[in-house]
Amino acid sequence: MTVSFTLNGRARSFSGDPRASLLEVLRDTYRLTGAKEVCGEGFCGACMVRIDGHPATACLVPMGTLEGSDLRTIEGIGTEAELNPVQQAFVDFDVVQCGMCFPGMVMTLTHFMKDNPHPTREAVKSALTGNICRCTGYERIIDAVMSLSGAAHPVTEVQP
Amino acid sequence: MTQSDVVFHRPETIAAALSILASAAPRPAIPLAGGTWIMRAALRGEDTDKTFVSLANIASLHGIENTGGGLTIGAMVSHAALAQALGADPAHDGLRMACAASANPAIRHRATIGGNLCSDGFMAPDLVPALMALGAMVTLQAPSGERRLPIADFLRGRGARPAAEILTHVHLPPPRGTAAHARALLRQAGEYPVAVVSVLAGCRDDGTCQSLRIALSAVEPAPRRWETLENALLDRPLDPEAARDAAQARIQDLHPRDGVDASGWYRARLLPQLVQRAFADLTRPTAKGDPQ
Amino acid sequence: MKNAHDPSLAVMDLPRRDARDKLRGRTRYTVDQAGPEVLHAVLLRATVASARITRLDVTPALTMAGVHAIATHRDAPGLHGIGIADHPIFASDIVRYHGEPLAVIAAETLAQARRAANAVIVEYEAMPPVLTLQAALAPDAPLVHPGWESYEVLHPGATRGGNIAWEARVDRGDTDAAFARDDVTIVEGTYDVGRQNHLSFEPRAVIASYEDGRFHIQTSTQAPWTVKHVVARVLEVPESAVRVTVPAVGGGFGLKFDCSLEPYAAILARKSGRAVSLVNSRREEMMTCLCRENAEIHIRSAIDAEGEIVAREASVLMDCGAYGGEQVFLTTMTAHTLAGNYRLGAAKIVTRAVYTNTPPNGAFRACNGVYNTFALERHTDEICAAIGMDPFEFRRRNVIGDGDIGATGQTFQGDVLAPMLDRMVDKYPVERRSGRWPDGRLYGRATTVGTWFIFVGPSAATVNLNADGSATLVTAGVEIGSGTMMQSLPQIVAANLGIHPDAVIVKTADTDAAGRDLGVGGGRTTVSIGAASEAACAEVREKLLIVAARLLQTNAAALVLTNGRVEVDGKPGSGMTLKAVIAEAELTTGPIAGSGAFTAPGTTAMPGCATGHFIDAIDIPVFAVHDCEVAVDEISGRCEILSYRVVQDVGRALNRRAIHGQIQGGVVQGIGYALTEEVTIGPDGAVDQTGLESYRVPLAGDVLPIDFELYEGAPSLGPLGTKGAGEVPILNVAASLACAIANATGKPVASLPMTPERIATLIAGEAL
Repeated sequence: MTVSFTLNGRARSFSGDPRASLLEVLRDTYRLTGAKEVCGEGFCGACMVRIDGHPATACLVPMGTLEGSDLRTIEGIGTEAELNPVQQAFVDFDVVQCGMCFPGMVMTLTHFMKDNPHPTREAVKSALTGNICRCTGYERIIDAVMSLSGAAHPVTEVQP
Repeated sequence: MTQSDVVFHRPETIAAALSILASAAPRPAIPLAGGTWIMRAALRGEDTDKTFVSLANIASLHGIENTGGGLTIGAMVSHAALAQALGADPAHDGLRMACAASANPAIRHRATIGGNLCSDGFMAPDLVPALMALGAMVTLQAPSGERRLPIADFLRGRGARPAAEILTHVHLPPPRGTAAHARALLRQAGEYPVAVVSVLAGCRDDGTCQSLRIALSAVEPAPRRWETLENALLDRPLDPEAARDAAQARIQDLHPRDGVDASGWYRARLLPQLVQRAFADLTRPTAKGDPQ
Repeated sequence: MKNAHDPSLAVMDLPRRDARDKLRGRTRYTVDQAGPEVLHAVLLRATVASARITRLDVTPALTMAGVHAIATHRDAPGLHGIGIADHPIFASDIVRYHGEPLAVIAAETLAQARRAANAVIVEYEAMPPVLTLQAALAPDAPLVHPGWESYEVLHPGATRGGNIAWEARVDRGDTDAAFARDDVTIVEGTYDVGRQNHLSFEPRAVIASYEDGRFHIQTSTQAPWTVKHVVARVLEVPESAVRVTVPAVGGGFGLKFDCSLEPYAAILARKSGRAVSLVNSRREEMMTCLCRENAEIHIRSAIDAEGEIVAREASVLMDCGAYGGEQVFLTTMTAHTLAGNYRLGAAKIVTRAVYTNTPPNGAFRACNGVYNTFALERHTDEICAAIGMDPFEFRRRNVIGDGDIGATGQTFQGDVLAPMLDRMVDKYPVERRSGRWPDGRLYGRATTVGTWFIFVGPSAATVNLNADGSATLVTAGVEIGSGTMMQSLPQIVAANLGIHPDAVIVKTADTDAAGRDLGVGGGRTTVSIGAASEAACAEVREKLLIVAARLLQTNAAALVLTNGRVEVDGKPGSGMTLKAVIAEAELTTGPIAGSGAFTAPGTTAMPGCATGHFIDAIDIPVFAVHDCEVAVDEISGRCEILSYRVVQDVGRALNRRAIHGQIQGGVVQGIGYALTEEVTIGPDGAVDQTGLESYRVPLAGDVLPIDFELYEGAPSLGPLGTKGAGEVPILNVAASLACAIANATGKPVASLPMTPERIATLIAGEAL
């Protein structure tokens, strides 16, 4: 069985076990290691990717369901020259620590800010229910996101 | 490639799906909905070498239709989609709350109503008690035909279901009354609840309760109704404190379970307050509390 | 030569240079490094807590698809450890804990390795396990280490025997006499605490290869030299045959301060001739984590009529699990934490690390300081209730200050805790400590003090001056997330050399390049590695200024390094660029480099006070004052934190924004330890919490912004007067929350974690 999809804008096809998780395939087959294997249960958000426009935990998505899908991983967000606004806010506020949770944070919050350009802190925290961070204690991440609220340019993708 | 080599199927009709599930050789075949339960099989120590039969391409499983005033919901509808689709009818407030609060945002977008009902062994589902409170029915389709069951009956038979059977639709009766859904968590969000109370109440003009369904989840190994509490509160006005006291007096009718997350003692301790919260939400005129 | 520069030049909110790649998912941690040529290994782990192994047969696995090599105890028969060599890397005839490695298998894919592990035949003869401290210390308890007497002792002076792995004692003055006085109030309490799992997002992971007769270990570690030492010992090769390099580390918190998976991968690399990757699954990390240990603390104090502590006795039982590990070393820390904070007339402390048939414990951010501070501050509030003194007043009166003697007899310098306490209550005056919140919940407030320390010890650094005016800093320091390697260290080097931190290249850890280092953790990176780096810079400056002085025809003493130039002090624009001086130096003396070292200066304890201690006296104490308010729901026991404030002793703040990040993060880890994270062990000796569904760490909705103030100016031997700031934010959190909850509920909080159920149990008056 072959599964064909778009991955970060490129056409791909996968012929391995369709029951394998997208996370395993991203990391081992495509060597896109930005999505991290942390909990394997959908609780931590470190493997967050975007499938057909919506964030999903790659650890729980079997490859066989992705026929015709449009996938975007953290590697497809921002470029060397220009980070997306969420990434840039994290740089400006210097919030990154060990870094393992941040690809997932960027995926979730980029999507959230697109639909909620002026959120309350509580709404941001609620959006982060499925993104755990062990290092930062969250509040500075939220400070960075709140600085985007009411920013001149809404959060859109910068795509390579 | 022979049929037996295929480990993943994407049938486009229910009949095709049933036929694959019936063949079951050389390995067991299982229906795949959102995948959030099945993809954790290895963590539960289960055999993972099964044939997946994805229901994603079966169009008739994705819809939400008005049928004679009630709703027919396809099994593949996600928690998030259902929360969006449910209108402002107060009878649907409990189900909408359950859909909007379960797990976390990414999971809600993938997990389905069918999956929530069929995850045998998952002790804290949110949608199931809300559906029980609504008096929902499920349609099961097998090669031999179709049958419709109340949820409680479906849950009882869950462990011994035939391999070639698919839960295809959930049917909500025409909405009547007002509903609430209260969850007890240990943190603020993002975890399975330790106790859930889901209520649907219908009142007469004089304010007394004419119909009442109270369903629990997470308290015992499987979701269930709290019939003795329902009986105690029928024909009385909706009163959160009276409901709490009546619940306190009837805890012994339940068998709250000990688990890694909480003891039975603790769940029992939480229940009266949780019932009170649900009843307070029922009587609140507008916004029905936080998903908490 | 004195460093003639202004220390404030090192102070800035330098952003971290690794942020962009981390945000773009480009950073390759050890778990991301394995390419297609690497074999994948799994450990076969015991599924019983205590047993004789009657059969271990790997032959069925040897011939399975994809299998390249298998190793068992026959490949590494030796013992290693800290303090005592009690630890084999594979169980040979006896299993001592659920999860203990029996064999390791390398195959072409992880799935093949797992199938092979399942094919190994293992048969056990179960023995009765001891799973709790009580069970281990009961008379006639089965011995976890029947052969304990035969073990090599690596650090002299301690008592040990039976299931007591190690005992450390402090005896200063005559406590018996003090307790016998008729003018004292005697207060005593017993406290117990559970384990905490670090939940580093990157699990323990290693890739090992064997080339040219040497091992190359690429590993997610905080202590590359410890890994080098232990791998060499276990594999019975010279240390020079082992090279350890460290990619970016996805969280450590102490879990990775010891050697763990590396020897297994190394053995397989040698056996298979291929590079071998070994990564713990999350389940393995949950079930065999080197947790903060569970413990039991008993304190007894005699207080005189003036409210002074004339004597304090304490005994602490620490569960080390099946092997001594870090806990042997940590028995030292009771003296400095449980017997810290306050002036004591006399002190007698006994700390025992106890063997049980459970997964070995280890080090976790501020180690036993966290629960010792909890027990001490609870005890302190209980003393205040017994003698009728205000808890702030008692602390203000009794906290150690300049010239006071610590538990092991060292003399403290400076008044730090008292002014920090004043700072806290001046900023946040206390109106009440108990009562009701407007919505009816129980309200409580508490203020606590804590003493921790900077874990000094050997560090080495080399600074190479490059032709383009940049400098390369070579150390064995590892960036585990706190930012020290990205910020504080380049800031220190830059200030010393008069260049911008962005011009300081920080070489990632490589034991072939850098000298010995004790490891990253214990707040030591900024202090020890920073001090070694400063010493290296001093040598560079000296060499540079000799050349510059000749070129500028002036005295070296009149020259300063600033803005990438060598200039005459007080005459900006004079002199020449660094590049020009370096170019000249290369023609005459050769490329300029400097090396430096740092180790424990050796503050003295009072002779005879401490036995079995690894650290007799603290060289650099770190103090903290925390204050919090809580609202507790009487039925559910859920505790909401209404406010949380920190005053932290930092010496000098080199990067205030980075310290803020450590305080916010460290306090939240403390909140998890105190309120939400629970590790329980079932009757089979296995950890119940096998994943993130059941192990509850704080999420975004569970936390609040921590108000903080950095207290500067306390004496510190650290470079530029700094103290490490990354570890201590967690120290007082459980203490503060427990005292506030006790005030709110009116119940004695003597146990951690205070989960909602446990608080509800306390309120209901039930036994925990």
